[in-house]
Amino acid sequence: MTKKQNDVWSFFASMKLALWIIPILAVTSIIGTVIPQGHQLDYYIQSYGPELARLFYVLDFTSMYDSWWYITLLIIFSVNLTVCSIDRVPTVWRMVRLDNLNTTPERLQKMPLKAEVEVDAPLPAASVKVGKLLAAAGWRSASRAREDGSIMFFSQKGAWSRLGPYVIHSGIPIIMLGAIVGNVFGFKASIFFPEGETVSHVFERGTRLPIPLGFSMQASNFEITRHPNGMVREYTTDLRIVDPLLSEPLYFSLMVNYPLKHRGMTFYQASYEPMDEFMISVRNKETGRTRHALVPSGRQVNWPEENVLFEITNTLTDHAGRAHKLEILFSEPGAIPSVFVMQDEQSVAVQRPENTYVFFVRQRYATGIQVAKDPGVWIVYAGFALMTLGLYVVFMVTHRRIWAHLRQDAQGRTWLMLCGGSNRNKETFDQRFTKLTDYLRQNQIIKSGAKPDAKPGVKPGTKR
Amino acid sequence: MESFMFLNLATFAYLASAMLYIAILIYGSKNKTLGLTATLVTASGLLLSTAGIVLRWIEAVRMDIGFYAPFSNFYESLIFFAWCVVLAYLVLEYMYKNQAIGAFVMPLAFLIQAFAEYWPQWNQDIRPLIPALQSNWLIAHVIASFVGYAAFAIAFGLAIAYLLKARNSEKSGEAEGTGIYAALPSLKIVDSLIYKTVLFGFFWFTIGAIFMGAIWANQAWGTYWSWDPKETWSLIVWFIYAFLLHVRLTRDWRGKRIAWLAILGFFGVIFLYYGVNFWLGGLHSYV
Ligand code: HEM
Repeated sequence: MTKKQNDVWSFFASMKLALWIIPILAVTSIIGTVIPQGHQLDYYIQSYGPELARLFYVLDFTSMYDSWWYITLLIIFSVNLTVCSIDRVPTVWRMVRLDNLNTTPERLQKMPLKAEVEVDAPLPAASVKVGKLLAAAGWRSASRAREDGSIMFFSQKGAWSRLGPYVIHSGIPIIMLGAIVGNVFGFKASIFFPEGETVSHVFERGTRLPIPLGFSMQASNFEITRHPNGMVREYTTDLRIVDPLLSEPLYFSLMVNYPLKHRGMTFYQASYEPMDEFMISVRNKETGRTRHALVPSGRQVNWPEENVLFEITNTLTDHAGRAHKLEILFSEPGAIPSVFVMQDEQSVAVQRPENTYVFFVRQRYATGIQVAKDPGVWIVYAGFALMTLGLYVVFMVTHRRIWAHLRQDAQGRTWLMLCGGSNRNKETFDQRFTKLTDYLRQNQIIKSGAKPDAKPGVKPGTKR
Repeated sequence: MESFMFLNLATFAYLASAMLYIAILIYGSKNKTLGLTATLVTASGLLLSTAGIVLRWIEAVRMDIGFYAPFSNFYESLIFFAWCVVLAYLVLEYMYKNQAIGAFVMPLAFLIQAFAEYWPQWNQDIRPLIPALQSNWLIAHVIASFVGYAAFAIAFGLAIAYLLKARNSEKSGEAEGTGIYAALPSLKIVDSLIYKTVLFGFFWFTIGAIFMGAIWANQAWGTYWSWDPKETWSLIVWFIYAFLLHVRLTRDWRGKRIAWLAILGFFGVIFLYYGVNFWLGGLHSYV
């Protein structure tokens, strides 16, 4: 690598950059939560005045999360994260693979936790005993004779957990990659159409350009169920899909939280709207002859076969456009009409001089369906999974190490030096370390410093 | 509606518990009866609240209003928030055998619960859920997020304790402070507790609030991320705590700075939880 490349690399590998970019991202992200995003210029001029509105436009504050400067920050952030991690992983990997038996006794002296005691056995016998006791205490160890005749024992747990942060970090660029894949190869679109109708295009979000589906989709029925207090319980669009690739039509009841997947696209029930259109059916009670009509309010329907006319003369709608009361006029031409008030989805029997008719009205709804094609979503989820795994490791697994150094001094006495350390949860490890030394004492491996109340053969971890 | 009665009683239990822990802090922890009473009162407050939450769920199911979870509106979520804080505190007390921290956590739990019970702003009735909320993801997402919030709340309480103790220690010249501050765990332990609770909170917040929220949004609307104010604020909070973890690990920041960051982070949480819903609006304004 040239010097220059090195500079770029070390710039992006630096933790300093990360500690700047993270707060900068945190602070700038606030802007778009305070200034409403994605409105027309007029909106901002009205709400903030022309000067501020212009400033917002220049600085892209009106759609800041896809502005060049915000995207640039995100890119710097992920490059920083990636380079920083790549830069450090080799060191961490060496740490995981480190031959800890090579650690010198001098290094052990500098460890935060240590205990040195005399052992009541000659070196070879003591060595066997130490190995066994460590294993019995849950620290299966490797050992190696050193050149000076002393013996080093080592045991560790969770060394691989040092890679945890890097697993977390790797998730972030993967999520970003998934987002890019979704943006480049997918789309977000929507369609809003009345029940009964068939569509074969949807409209891209933002551009409103039509996207052909390659099949046709009919909203054969739209149904709202309500709670007694009138709140919407759920709403469903019954879809009938006729796809040249399928031998039979596909039927699906689309509901919120229950999307339909078809041909790499996903269809979501997103919204609905009552229309000023009514599906009327009138049935002659005697003959059973029926007439259906789909009309807005105020339009008269003529049924020449029965010589009747009917019309929804008036509707009482709520703010959402739902018709609560309908005023109906029903008559033979020239006769005195029946005028009555009824509710949506109610049947009313209309008595006329000649016949009785059953009159039924149902308001027509339009259904709003979101359509998304996002081939990147599984990449994003894979990133989530990696980060979850990494977080779990960082949170749950500690790298704990124990060294034991056994040596004979000039007087022929045997000394055991026990050392240890952990990268996290130090207090817990301290306690374990104390337990381990107590355990060795209780088993009388250690002559000096034996506690008067020590009972032999007690396992560590048992309550005393 | 028996659930109201239980939740009301829980509020009083939390108040009593907060006062008992403050008494322990002031009169020292030598009085075993006082200590035991504090723990028992707290535990019974938790049980009362649990009963209230469960009863409320049962009442909702009886009303036949379809899918329901007992944290579907702001009132219920505050109750659940307090519940998580109390549970987390009891676990902490059990693990560290120190009751002085209770004086900094239980008042917070009481305030949250009282805010739910007595603030006139929210409707406490059980009302049916809008269709978008009728999903099992609601349960998973809310529970995991609130475990995270609760951990951040406790880190906040600990941070206040740390700063007060540190100030007292500087003034008095005693390493571990004087009087009531000496009763608190050592500065080093409080500092490491702040770090641990933040790490615990970060784990649940990342998974519960951000990941599960994204997966659910994708299920309901077809986009896992739409920069809606709630989502963006959760990212901001996430950045604050990520910053805390990194300066601690790579810059060796300890003590006061970390405590201030934990406080800042919790203000972020409060804004995310309350401010966004009531001041900014967006997809999450479900009350
Ligand atoms: C917001 C995105 C990030 C998240 C969620 C994240 C998460 C984490 C977590 C949870 C840890 C472990 C912390 C601990 O053990 O207390 C960690 C460690 C670390 N992170 Fe990040 N990180 C992020 C961004 C970055 C960036 C941008 C960089 C550098 C350029 C970075 C560099 C490091 C380093 C060097 C460590 C220490 C690893 C070690 O010594 O074990 N992180 N990160």
